Amino acid sequence: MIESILEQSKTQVDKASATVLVSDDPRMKRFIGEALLVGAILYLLQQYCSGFFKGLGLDDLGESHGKKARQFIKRIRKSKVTNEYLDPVKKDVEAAIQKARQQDATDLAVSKAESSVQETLVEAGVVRAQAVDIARGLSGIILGE
Amino acid sequence: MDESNHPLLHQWLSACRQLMLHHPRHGARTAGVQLGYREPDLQPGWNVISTRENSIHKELYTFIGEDEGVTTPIHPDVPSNTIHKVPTRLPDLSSTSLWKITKDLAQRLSEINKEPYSSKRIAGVMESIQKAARSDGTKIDIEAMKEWVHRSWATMRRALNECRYDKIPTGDFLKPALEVLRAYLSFELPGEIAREILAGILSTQRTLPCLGPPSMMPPRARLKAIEHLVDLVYQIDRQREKVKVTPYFELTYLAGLYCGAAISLAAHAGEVGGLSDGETIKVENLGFWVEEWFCHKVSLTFLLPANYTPGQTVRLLDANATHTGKPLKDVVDSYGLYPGLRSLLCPTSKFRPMSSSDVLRFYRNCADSSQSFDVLAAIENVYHPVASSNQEAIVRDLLTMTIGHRI
Repeated sequence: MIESILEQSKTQVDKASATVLVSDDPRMKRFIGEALLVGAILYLLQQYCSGFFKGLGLDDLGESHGKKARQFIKRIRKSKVTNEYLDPVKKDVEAAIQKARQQDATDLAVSKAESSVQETLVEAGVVRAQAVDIARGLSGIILGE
Repeated sequence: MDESNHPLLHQWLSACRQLMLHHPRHGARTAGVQLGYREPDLQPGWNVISTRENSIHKELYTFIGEDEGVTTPIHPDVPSNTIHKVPTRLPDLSSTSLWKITKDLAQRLSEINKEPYSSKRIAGVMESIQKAARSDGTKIDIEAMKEWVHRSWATMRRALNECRYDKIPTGDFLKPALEVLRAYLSFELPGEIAREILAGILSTQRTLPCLGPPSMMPPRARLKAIEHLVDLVYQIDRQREKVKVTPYFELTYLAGLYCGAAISLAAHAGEVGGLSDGETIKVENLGFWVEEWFCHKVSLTFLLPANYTPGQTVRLLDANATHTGKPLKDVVDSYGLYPGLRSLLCPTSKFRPMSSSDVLRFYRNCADSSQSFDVLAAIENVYHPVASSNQEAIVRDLLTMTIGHRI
């Protein structure tokens, strides 16, 4: 399931946005290969799930995913990304999405999830209109709306 | 008239856009490297590139690895003698394949001599390209810039004088920015000069009443100008997906200029300062995003239509993906293909049973069923380069000056 979600998400997250996400210094421009693009998408999916659970009042679960997301992006910004490193993260994100799909997707949960993705992107430098489009696109992919 | 119905014109206009997007010799070199006529300048491992003399960073270091890479102004932690020095000299325009193709196309189009691309107009464009190519591309042609800066400044000064006669000449005052856009879109000005002049005008406009140098622009007005331009770049990208072939390429070409002007303004912001730490980071990040956007969405868009027919293009990209093992979508995305043509390759290849003339017919049909779009009219309305908050401030300043003269 996660591979299908990642493929669909590639239509939403372009290379320019992925590049700014995986760089913590605008002076270090990394070339976006497949692994880094997948890393950037996994980070956004984690952020989405974190916001979604918080919007449902499941604060601990949301915070736990938020913490994992922050640790993950810190790691991929500092070192080379390999499939071996991405595989367990994919499993983790897949489990979070499955759990999210079992919940009642309230307006507040979707709104918090999308805000979480938007703010992450805008903070990295992505123009807000695109951040909004990406967040909505991920909602459609994750929740099937 | 949409250029999809005139293959010769479409190819010539694409070649002109490729040459004038930044600097003709730069555009021709990029085409040569991308299409395999020239050796790539970068080698595996670390490379150092000397940038233009007025760039923020004098040197950029690029690492080319097997499946990763990075570009940075920071000297890498390796001995200098292991870093490959990239030659900075750009090829003479006359020696490049792209220029030879452009000249041949211009000759054939001139023989047709049909409005709106009369032989006189075509000759004018070719002359502008050659004029822009006279500078070596390592530094900005200051003389060419001065002429435009003086002209723009004189127009704004004349508009200010109108304030003495109870007029609020907002339209005239904002006109120079639109004139630069028109000159760029009609290939009178190359992108490397147009972006600097546009950034300069947008800055100077906000120094009323004195019309001072760009550095006098209030820092937050500069931030607004950058935010506005990057917003436009994204809006333009969304719009171009829906339109015919001519506006698709014109909008992409326009986005290239807005990216360049935003990058120049971001560089000014770094030099001038005056913003909070958070705002400074915001400017840096927006500058970063817009540079990446330019690389991924604009820089190679004109290359294939300048060199190949639609039928050749789909076959070339399909073969390229097979040869390199890259996903076809990635290859297609990197060349900014027109959506109709893209649909023949992604998500699955549909062109294989089609002849070249079938592909061309399909291309035209896609264009015919897409929206018409007047780019110049849109620039005056929805894609105006001056941010609304800056326009409001300009109107307020002009009004103050008018009232001041009356008193």
